[in-house]
Amino acid sequence: MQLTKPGAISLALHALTANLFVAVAADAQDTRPPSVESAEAPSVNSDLANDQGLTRLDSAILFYQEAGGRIRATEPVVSGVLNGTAGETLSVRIVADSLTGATPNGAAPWTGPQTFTTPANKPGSTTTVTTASGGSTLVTLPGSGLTARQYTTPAGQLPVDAGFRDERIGVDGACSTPIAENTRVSVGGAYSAERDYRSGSLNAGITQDLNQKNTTLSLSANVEFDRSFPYFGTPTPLTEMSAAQKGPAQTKTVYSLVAGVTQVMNRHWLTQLSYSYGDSSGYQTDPYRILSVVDPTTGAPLTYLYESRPRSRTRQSLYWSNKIALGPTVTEISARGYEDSWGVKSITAEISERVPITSWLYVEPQARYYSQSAADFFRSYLISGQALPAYASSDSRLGKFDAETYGLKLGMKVGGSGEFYVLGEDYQQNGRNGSSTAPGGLAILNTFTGVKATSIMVGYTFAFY
Amino acid sequence: MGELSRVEDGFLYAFRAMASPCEARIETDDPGLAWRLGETAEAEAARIEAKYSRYRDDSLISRINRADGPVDVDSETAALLDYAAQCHAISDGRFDITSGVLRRAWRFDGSDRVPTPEEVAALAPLVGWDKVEWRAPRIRLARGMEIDFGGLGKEYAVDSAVAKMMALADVPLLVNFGGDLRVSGPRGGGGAWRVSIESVDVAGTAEGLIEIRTGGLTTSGDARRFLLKDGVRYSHILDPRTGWPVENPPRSVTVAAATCLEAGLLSTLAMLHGSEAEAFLASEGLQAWWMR
Amino acid sequence: MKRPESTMRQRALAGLALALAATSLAGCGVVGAKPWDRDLMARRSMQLNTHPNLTAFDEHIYFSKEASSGGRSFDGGGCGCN
Repeated sequence: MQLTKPGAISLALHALTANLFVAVAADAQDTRPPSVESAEAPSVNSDLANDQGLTRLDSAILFYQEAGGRIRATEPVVSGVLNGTAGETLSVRIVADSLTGATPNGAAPWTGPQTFTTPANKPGSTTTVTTASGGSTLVTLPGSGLTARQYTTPAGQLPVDAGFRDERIGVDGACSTPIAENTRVSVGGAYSAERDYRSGSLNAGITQDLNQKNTTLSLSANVEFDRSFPYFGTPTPLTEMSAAQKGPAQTKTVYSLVAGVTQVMNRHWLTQLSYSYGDSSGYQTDPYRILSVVDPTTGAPLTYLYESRPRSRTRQSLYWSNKIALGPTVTEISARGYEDSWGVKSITAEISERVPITSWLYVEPQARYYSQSAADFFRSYLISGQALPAYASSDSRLGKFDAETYGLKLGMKVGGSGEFYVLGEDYQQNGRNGSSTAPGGLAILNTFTGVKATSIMVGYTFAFY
Repeated sequence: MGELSRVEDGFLYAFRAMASPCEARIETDDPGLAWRLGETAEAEAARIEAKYSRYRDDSLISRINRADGPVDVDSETAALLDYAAQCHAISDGRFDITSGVLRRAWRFDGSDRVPTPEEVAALAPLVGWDKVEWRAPRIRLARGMEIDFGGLGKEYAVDSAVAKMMALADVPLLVNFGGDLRVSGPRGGGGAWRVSIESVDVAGTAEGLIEIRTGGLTTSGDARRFLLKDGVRYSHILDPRTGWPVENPPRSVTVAAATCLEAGLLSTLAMLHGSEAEAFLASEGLQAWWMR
Repeated sequence: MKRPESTMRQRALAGLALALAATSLAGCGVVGAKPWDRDLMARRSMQLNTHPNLTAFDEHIYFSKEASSGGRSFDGGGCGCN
């Protein structure tokens, strides 16, 4: 080719270069050819994860409400992560949480009204209080002079203690740093305080990158010390519910270990497999929870006993998570198998799909399925005249049930590094603890006390220098 | 991993890639954005270096050069090979990505070791794009031939990095990979970017600085790479058509053009015109600075 | 009533074996992405825990309403809600 006209070569080159960038941009998803004045908008997917050298703040609040006027919770959280320029991180999180509402006390429903007498939260109080929602009354029991709190559950209804109220404040922090090209260590701790519970924990972990950072092995260990000091002391398990003040505070220790492998499978697929093991020993009973002891013929409640759980529990689970980026969407699929020494086995499956809508908005529908078997010592009630088991609890958390969660997340890019996010979730447990062979009137009542709850979570995160 | 520092009207993200100091200047108040943009530039430089560097055994270029047979390439590489073929055509064979083989005879180490005509002639069968079998997506080199993107890879990386950064955020920015640079457009408020070009005669520029508002800027030169024998200076600018250095090229040529890639090719072509370099620049009507 | 500990241990070993198998597969170069093919992995949306606060809320809810815990991270939970 002979180009002799003045400027001919640079003109031809200009056209060729424009062609080159159009050709290259055609298959590189987020390349805008510089020589083409394209109006293509920036993508909501172009938000990169690396915050090196920046501080990131992330604050959010949870509003949680159970159906049927049961628990209502509000939980604000503020967290901050300081990222050093050499990959060090320091993170701090403060969480508060406030719960009010009615919680099942563990007694079985009955066709007649049931009155429960429990110690007053503040011993010695003689004031008589009646609240519209709680429906509890403080009374001084004749003869003993004990101050008791009494509440009555109407016929056919699930017995709940409406006086439930708690506040919690928790702080946790962690720092991590690379100690070699592909090795990172971390240490952290947490402390949380409620009116009747304290918990403190320490953890340490190490991660190792292999295969050009395609594989990451991680190992971490945590030790947790808990102290439980119920309002009226700790009841002796399987003794009769009464207004008398109970025993001293109790403790629990939990050791846990998580070992994991994270693997980049290919450009689109990230997978993680982790195994966790936990060993708890100490007081694990719910001090406020009771069981009905019912008449073997009629099913009528005769007495109420405080529940009893083993002092030792080991748990293990295998968790498999996948993130798959195909086109503009990201799919997350995870599954978990769990079992513990109390006889609970469960499976969990979750899926979510992140779909960009505009350059600044994405939606992420999500679903979760959970199914568990009952603990060996789960009893909806005890039958009078039969030998007392060593352990018994009617907590529906330890019973057999399935649960489904459906949620929708919205994320909005704000500024260069900010995101405003909202997640709405609907959670429902499905189960049935009744049986036609139940004694007397209990046969027609469902003793399942599972939860149906709605949550709204709102948060905002951003990074700055 | 690069370093971010605050500079006038924004941030400077500096890192090393392609054996050169690299930087991105980003006019924003948002350091998080500056980080992400800087990292985008760094990632693009790393990606292109990994894919096209002839110094890396695992690069695609090394694979093509090693292969004793046809190699199928991806569409990006195919577009670049098409581009290189077209540049070969419009430059009458002066621009040739197969010319790297000549370095086997010519070692520009400042010594007086000038190869014999026989040594150079022996390489002639291995040089020339017209000897390459190229039909997208398949390339086949004759045994002993090599290609490299030395004349366009870094420039392409600059343009590509700017494109990816502009896709992330609409802020004024400048990307400079070892002296090959490109701006996204004027600075905030419509001002020009002021660039100091090493080894360019400062006469005729404002305070030794070149001002650009759009496009790319590159410099080609032979400042330290030449051979000197019997009073003859042999430039490192080799004419692939003869296998010998071009005669009497300028010490350096700096060209401004719409993209970094165009600027790079034009400054290289100007050097390849040897003593005719200024005439070439003038006839093309280019915005250029040179030093004899 | 007590679960035989040996069954639990066997399952733990099976889990670890699976994890090691995944690692060795990666070592052979069967799986993985080259450094310049990590563009998708670099996105925030491809991180394993994109919204730590939301994850913590969910885990707190599930921890206090279900018997299972752990998997993604430690069990326990640091509250008296079970």
